[in-house]
Amino acid sequence: METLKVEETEIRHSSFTFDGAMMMLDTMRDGIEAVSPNYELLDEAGNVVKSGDVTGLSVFSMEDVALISFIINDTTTDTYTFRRVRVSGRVYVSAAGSSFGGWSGLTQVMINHTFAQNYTKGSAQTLHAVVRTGIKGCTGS
Amino acid sequence: MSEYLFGWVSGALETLFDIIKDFFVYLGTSIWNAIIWVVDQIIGIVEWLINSFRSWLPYAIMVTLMWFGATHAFKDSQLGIEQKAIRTLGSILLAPIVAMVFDALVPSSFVLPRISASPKEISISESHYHEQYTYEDVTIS
Repeated sequence: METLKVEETEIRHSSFTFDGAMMMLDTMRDGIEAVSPNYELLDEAGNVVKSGDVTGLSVFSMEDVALISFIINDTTTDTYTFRRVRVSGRVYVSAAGSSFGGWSGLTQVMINHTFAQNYTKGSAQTLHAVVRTGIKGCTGS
Repeated sequence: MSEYLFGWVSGALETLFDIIKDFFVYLGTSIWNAIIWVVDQIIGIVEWLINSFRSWLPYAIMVTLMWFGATHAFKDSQLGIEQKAIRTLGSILLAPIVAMVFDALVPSSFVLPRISASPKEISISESHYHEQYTYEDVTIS
């Protein structure tokens, strides 16, 4: 005997909360701050053309986005063309189920950002780049 | 003018057909739900009967054992008066214990499945996913 099938509506929702995403990004920020130099600018072919320390490293939320923001400042007379930036940080290690954790000696790339176009910096020019990477769709608790 | 009239008439007819269709869908669903309700009531009565029978079964076992033990002891002409008394008392003591063991071993009640409570078909109508957030502002001056 066939029974009536009543369609029920279910909204599938699985997301990081702001608190969770901010905690992840905070840990990433601490890891990046622990390394120097922590950024590398790369050209189209993947060659490192410049390295240094990012400034203005911060974590904040904006609408439904939790994000990490950093600034690359270069006031030197170096000349180069770049397309990507790679930000590295120290790896935080913790055993599953344990409350003990700590910074390892291992450094890994944390952020990979490809710019919208190639940028060329001349010897008489300064570079000021603000880059933000985030997780959109975070929810409240 | 004729186009306007035709549009108006076809719209009205469409609405009329929708009303008729909705009526028959409602009627069919109501009749079907009523049939399911009646079948579920019958299942409920059967369930109640079986559970009632189960609840009285220990007493039935106890009385049957007592009766069986006592009558057989007294009917047996080979036994002396002491043996008859011992077997009768033994059956009176043993019968409640057997009934209690049965009561402890067999589940006290059970529930039959109902058609109206059968699993419903679930459709997922909406999904949320995280998206990547990127931002860049590069100034070379």
